[in-house]
Amino acid sequence: MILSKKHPSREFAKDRLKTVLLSERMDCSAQMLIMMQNDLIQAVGKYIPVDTQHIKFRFVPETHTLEAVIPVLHAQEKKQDL
Amino acid sequence: MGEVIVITSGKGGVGKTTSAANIGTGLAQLGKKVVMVDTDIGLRNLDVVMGLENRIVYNMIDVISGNCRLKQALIADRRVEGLFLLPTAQTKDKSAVTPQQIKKLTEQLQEEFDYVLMDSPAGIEQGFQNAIAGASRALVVTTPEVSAIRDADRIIGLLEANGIRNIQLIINRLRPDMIARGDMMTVDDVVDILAVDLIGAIPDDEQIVVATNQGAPLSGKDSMAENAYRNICRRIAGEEVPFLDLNKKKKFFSKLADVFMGK
Repeated sequence: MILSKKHPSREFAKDRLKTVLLSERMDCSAQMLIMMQNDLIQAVGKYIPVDTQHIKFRFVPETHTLEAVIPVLHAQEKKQDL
Repeated sequence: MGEVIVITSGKGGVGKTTSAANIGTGLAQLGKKVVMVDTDIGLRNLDVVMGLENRIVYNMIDVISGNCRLKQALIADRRVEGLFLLPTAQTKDKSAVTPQQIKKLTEQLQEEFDYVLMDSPAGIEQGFQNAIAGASRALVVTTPEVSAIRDADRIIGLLEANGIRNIQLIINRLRPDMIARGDMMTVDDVVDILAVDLIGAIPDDEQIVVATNQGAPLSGKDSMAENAYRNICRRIAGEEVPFLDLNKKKKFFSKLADVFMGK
């Protein structure tokens, strides 16, 4: 894997860990999680514009729940995007 | 009644035994009465790290099986007042004792000591179950690497499942130079991912190797790692101690300068 200066290995480590831990905490394969996340993004995105770059999924062990933070784009940002 | 603290990690080689030796020594230096219990049956190491390997007569298995009294198996560290080691057996395996037996042993030790430190073996099998049996608090040791953090997460889950809620994190072998160039996860990254409270961040430090060679933890050299361990001990004892700033990229060099200037 080629590591550019903009993407130091620390970021790779964090991203990989977050995925693997989410998958282990939820007892659900990483592949399935990615599919589920994509489905969720699509489902919500069908009705409101969402910022797909900053979506976060987290498993909260204390309450045993899956938390999804899906930022919604403002109307203005949407226009700029178009 | 003393506090029983298990030092554990899941992954091997991240510094459990080194941490146990340094924290035990540091707490005793604060005037506490401390016993360190090696629970890694068959692969004992706390004795050599402490430099007490030549003084072992009896071990934990002898105590549990009634071959000797508890006091006969405890080795007093002659360098620090109030510091004791209960070594484990080298010739038996992890199934030689049960968690119930360990729990009974820790209850006995709690009456005599302020702190009972259980040095856990690597893994999540019976050795781990033995080590945590009597503990009410856990120190999870990890390094800023994906494999160690993944195992730490698993261990934290198992500790919680076993009713141990007081869990704190030790992040070992931090390399400020690698953090500065973005090639190592920061203290904040690791704490954020594992979502448990931090009790200490230990820089990678040659002095630890030197101290282990000599069998003399916290032997007085004022290295960064030794200071970090001393801070952990003060936090365990209930003091509020600010964290050494290892994770702030820009501040590192001024921090390093402080250390070299003897500040």
